[in-house]
Amino acid sequence: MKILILAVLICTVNQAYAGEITYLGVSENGQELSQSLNEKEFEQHLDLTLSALESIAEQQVSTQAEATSNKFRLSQIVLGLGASGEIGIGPFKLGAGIRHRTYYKRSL
Amino acid sequence: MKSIILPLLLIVSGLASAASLPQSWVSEGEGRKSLSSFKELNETQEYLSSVLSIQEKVLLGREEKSLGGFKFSTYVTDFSVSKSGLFGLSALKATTAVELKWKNVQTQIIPEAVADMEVLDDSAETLAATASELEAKIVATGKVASSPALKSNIESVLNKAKLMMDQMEHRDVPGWKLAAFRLDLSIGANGQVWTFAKTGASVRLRLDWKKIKRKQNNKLMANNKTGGLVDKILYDFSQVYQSQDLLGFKVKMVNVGVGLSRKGGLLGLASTKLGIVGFLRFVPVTTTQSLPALADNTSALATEDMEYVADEISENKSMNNIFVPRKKWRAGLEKGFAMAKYFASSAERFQNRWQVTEVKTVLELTKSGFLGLASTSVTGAIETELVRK
Repeated sequence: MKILILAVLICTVNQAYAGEITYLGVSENGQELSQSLNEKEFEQHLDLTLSALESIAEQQVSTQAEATSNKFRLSQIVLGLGASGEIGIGPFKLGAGIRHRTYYKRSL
Repeated sequence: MKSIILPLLLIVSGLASAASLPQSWVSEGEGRKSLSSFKELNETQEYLSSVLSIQEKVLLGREEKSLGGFKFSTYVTDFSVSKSGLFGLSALKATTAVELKWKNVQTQIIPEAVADMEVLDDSAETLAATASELEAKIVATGKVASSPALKSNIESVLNKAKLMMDQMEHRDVPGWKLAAFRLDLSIGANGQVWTFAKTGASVRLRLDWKKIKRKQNNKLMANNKTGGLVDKILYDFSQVYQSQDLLGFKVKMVNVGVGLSRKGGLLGLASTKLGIVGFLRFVPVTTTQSLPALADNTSALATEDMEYVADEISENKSMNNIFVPRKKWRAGLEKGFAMAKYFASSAERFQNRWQVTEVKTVLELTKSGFLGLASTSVTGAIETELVRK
């Protein structure tokens, strides 16, 4: 599942915005990927990413339930995925990127 | 000690294309460096609006289901900009970031019980037990092998965190109340280790202590250097905060962090890099922006440069403290607020089940190599958490 996420998600940055969003990520063998997506494709990728993270969270809930100790009680699970990069503009180095993080909390 | 969050962050470096960023992110005001050629503000707003709209659509379209008693309650996305040389010191790097927090306002979260809000136990036995549990969680990730030094050094970190909490508990900061303490541990295989900076694959552990009434009165005296630094940071924050229009948002909490990262050594892990950052978490005493005047603007509190005490964690006795110019620090704070306002204005229009309820800005300073050791850096940070009124 993690490999799947690495292959599909990772970060969105924009060129001059023209309805397309550049998706950055890595392939299963660690090669850098870059792909321009339209808004519909971006929506599908985001949905897929959230589904993948939810799957990992589900695994963690069951794993942590088995490993519960007297001292700690799991109250939330946080899963994140993202990428960052640096670009040179004028005298500065700018790191720009968008990352994603999901929280799963105990609920009624 | 309550919750341990084990975020399995797999951050993978990529090369970002040229991005259109708001002018306020890259301009430092009159007389300083600026990027006057950066004019794509409208494109940035259009892009941001599009991304947020898609995020809302995807979140609204997701089925709500329970994962063994847990529910997907929050989605956070962040944007960051980092610059070297920003503060006039080539080795001092500033990173600013904004987090947008989407919350499902209909999800009913089980509140934390008061009994869960414990302070760290003083006893050596409890610290040792906590260190053992932390070591087990670190080793379980598969990123770090167990070693005798690992546990003893984790114990040392916990002891120092406890000392810092004790010291600040006896310090009165006008306008602010210390509410909690947070300790972030990051172990990275390569790259920098810090909340928003670029990293390689890393393991992160976060420990939160909520402040409760102590069972016994601790006689420790406040540490003037640590306390003085916090006073100055909060003074600057109050000055900047009161001059801002935060639209439909207000300050929920301010987190002041001081830490150190170093390659190898600290935890007896030769090939990894460790970051340790302790955050003091303050809430405003008043809910309005009318914080009390802390001092006149000619006092030492208002004008003295900030001194970072660098020898708290390191074993190197020859370390020198570093100083950060107040004027440049305030400029960074103002930039952080400008970023928060920019995103808050984009987020206010979402009023459905998923809403952007919080905007958090982060300004962190990292100075590398100031000890003559390229692998060591010291960090200071201020996080501002804004919440909808």
